[in-house]
Amino acid sequence: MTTDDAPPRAPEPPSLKRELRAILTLYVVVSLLPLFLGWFLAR
Amino acid sequence: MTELAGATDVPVSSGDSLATTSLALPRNRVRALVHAWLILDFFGESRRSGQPSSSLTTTIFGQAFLALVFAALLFPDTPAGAFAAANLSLSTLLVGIGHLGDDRGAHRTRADRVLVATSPMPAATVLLARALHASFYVCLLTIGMALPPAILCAFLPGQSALTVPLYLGLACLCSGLFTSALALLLRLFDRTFGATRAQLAGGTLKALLLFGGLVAFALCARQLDAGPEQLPLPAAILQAWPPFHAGRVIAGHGAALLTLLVTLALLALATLPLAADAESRTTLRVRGARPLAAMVAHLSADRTRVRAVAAFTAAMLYRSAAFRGRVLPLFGLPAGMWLLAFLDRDPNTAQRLHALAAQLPGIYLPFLVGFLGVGDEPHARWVFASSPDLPAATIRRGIAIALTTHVLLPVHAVLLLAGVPTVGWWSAVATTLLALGLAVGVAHLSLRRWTEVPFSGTADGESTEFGGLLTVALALTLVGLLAAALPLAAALPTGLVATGLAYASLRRQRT
Repeated sequence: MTTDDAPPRAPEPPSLKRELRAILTLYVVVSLLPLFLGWFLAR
Repeated sequence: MTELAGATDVPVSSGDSLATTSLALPRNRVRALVHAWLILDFFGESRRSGQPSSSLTTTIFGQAFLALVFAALLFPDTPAGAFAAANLSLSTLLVGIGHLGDDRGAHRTRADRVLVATSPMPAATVLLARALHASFYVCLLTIGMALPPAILCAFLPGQSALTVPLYLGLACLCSGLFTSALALLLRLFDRTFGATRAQLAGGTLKALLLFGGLVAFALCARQLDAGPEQLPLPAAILQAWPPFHAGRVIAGHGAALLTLLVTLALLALATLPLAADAESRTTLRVRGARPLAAMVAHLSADRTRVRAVAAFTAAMLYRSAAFRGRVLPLFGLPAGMWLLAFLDRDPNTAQRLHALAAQLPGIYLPFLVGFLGVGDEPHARWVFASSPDLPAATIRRGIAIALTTHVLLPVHAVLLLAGVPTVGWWSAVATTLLALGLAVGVAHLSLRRWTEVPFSGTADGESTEFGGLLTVALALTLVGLLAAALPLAAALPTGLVATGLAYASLRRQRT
């Protein structure tokens, strides 16, 4: 190991809440397109 | 995890509390277990390989997009019941295949045996936590895939906004039923044949599901409008497939829901005897005749190091869950296409198709070689790097032997048996011999720059070279077609010469 190498940083603790919130947002995003598609084609 | 066990009633020391608060674990035992397992599900793999975040969000997004494309293709013209059944089949199949491809099962079982089974917790608590965790995880994956078709289904004639929650519920029910049936099957395998064979069976089952799914979708897509009676599948398969009943529920037959719920209850009851404490299980090893290992020994010609590399590669080819997860699906899809191509064909076309199909293992071999480098344990290469005197030629010969005995020979044996009814014994033997000889040549060719012991590198450290792959594929296809045109009297000696040369190249290398 050379002196230029930075010491490894401690990883951020994993947050389940943050991950679940991201997945919920994803659900909303993937619902929008079929909603639009269904409304457009069913008109 | 022992501090999790006592989280409700034992005061924890300052060091433990630091670890517990950094993960923000709940104080309730069941919730703490579910929380910890979910953190492992989301972040375990990325932490092991050093990536910063979870890959689950990307997976859910990709699958949701696939489900949207599939649903949009079927959308305005398919009746609601058939639309729901087809889309639910896709989501159920993908969740099931994802469950089978999960190669963390063995590590997690071992960890649970040490951490959970030794903690002072009632078995019922662990069982409850396990059930909650499994259902939450399955529902999380399923809902992502079920949302687009559920919303589109609500726009179909005769459906209302209430269809969306009904569809989502049915999707979770179908996925739950299918994955629990698969888990039950694998657990039975585990108990009967041992953990390693159960893992292998899981990989094989995954390829079979991909194959069966592709064939079923291709056969049924044209008949969706005509009703379930017209589907070209046996009635028993339809009745056993949960999305079929779910489609009936969406179409207005409420009684079908009862069938699904009763099946779920029965499956849950069947799971109970097998959900016993993992610690009480003995590790079972099945020993029997090992013809492939004997073949490895013969081809290595008493060169100990070649034999060691070949035996290690051969064992890892079958055992490495990561490798199987990547490679077996590669075989499922072409096998499905091949079967479809064989249907409704005349004998001459069948013979040409058989000759082409026999070249497929050779065409696929460079892909397999491309995936050989990645090991189950990241950064394990130092173990081999520190071993003295292991020249690259020895490693290459070992890998070539392992690929021949454990991949090419079994696959060609299956192809031979499949080809006999269509093209006859001798023609099938000649085609297989030529293809086998050529495939061994391809193995040597794709290994020519290989220098490291396989199954010991990291996924990102490998630069997979697929250069020349197309050339090999084209050349093999041409040779296959030419060989199909040869008369039997010429084809058989050609095949024998090719296999003989391959045998000599494997056995007589000076390493």
